Amino acid sequence: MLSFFLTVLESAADRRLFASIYEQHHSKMERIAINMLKNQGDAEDAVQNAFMQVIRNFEKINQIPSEELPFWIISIVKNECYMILRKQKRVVLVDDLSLFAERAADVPDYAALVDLFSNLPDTYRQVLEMKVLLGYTDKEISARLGITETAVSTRASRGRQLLQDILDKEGFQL
Amino acid sequence: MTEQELDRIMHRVLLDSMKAEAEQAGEDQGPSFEPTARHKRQMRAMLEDPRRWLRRRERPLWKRAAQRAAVILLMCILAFGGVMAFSPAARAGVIRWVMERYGNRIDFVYSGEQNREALPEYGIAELPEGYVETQRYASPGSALVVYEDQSGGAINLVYDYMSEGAMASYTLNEDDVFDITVHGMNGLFFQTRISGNNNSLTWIDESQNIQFSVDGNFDMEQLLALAESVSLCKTPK
Repeated sequence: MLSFFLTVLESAADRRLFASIYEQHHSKMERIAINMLKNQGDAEDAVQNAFMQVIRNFEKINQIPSEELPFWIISIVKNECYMILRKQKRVVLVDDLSLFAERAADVPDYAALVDLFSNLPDTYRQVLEMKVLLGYTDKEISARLGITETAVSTRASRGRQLLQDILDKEGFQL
Repeated sequence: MTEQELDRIMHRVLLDSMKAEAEQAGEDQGPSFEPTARHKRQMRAMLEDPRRWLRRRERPLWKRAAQRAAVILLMCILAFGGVMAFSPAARAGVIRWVMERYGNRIDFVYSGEQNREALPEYGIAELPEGYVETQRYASPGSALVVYEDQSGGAINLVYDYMSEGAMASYTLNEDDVFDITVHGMNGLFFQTRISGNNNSLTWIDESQNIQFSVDGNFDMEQLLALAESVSLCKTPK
């Protein structure tokens, strides 16, 4: 971690880029945080924690297509909100995909698929977002969500299997 | 379908579901975000020097869970209380920091002019056996020195020049907090209750306008000994 400190955000150009990211996204991050947490102090903590993640992962920024960056950042702030809710025990992670088996059987097109994944239980969404979008390791996800690495791996596999099953269905339109 | 193709589709689906959710969030009329003065200060400090801000917030202390509220206010300023009560000029000249407590967080907020010279080089003179200096990083306002041994143990010495726009934040979780003195200078010792985490110690040298902190996997007595051996290695030219 230390060597990271010594190399990122060192140049004036990096700092300008960081300031520009802040200017473009902080309002959205704040709105998401206050909507999820309903508490100013917690929302501020979530936003600050999210910016810590942005700084830590700053080297990835240049590799993220600009159209994806807002969602990458939203994902980070949402995860920080979930972390706070979990610590406060204001959210219980439900490990139940059974309700989705029924819905998954009736996903005719891509829009319905997106809608289905929008409504995945948070525990699956968070694991998948951290793993697929943010590139976190199972160990990092395990630490952040307070679940075992096995549970992380299981949820990621089930999420992928759900997607695979839908895509394999005859007549599905991607 | 290959694994890579599946991952690519998953990536796209997750992004699109987030996009839909973000659009929905934009339409929701929830509570509004009204930033506190503390948050604004944090954001200013972050924009001024993101690395320094992150480093300050990322000490092992940040990562500990649950709360312990036994915080004792550092009283260095009181030593000057008589003078400051009567002289606003003296007060402006002397006070370089205030300590603020918000919930489980302690902020040391600095004031005063920026340091225009390089910081002096400090180091821990009496290191535990096997420890050697492995890294040293310095900017005009801040320095970090790392000592490591062969077994992976590490001691971090951090010191910051106290000036306007900078601050040091500590999130207290399951830490017991004790007031201590280092060569007569007041400070705090943060003792974690979480096995494997580092304890930390911070103190303020008002004569130099510098806040020091040392952390490592050591008890209070050992960290105090390390702190008391901190001395000047090199003065700026």
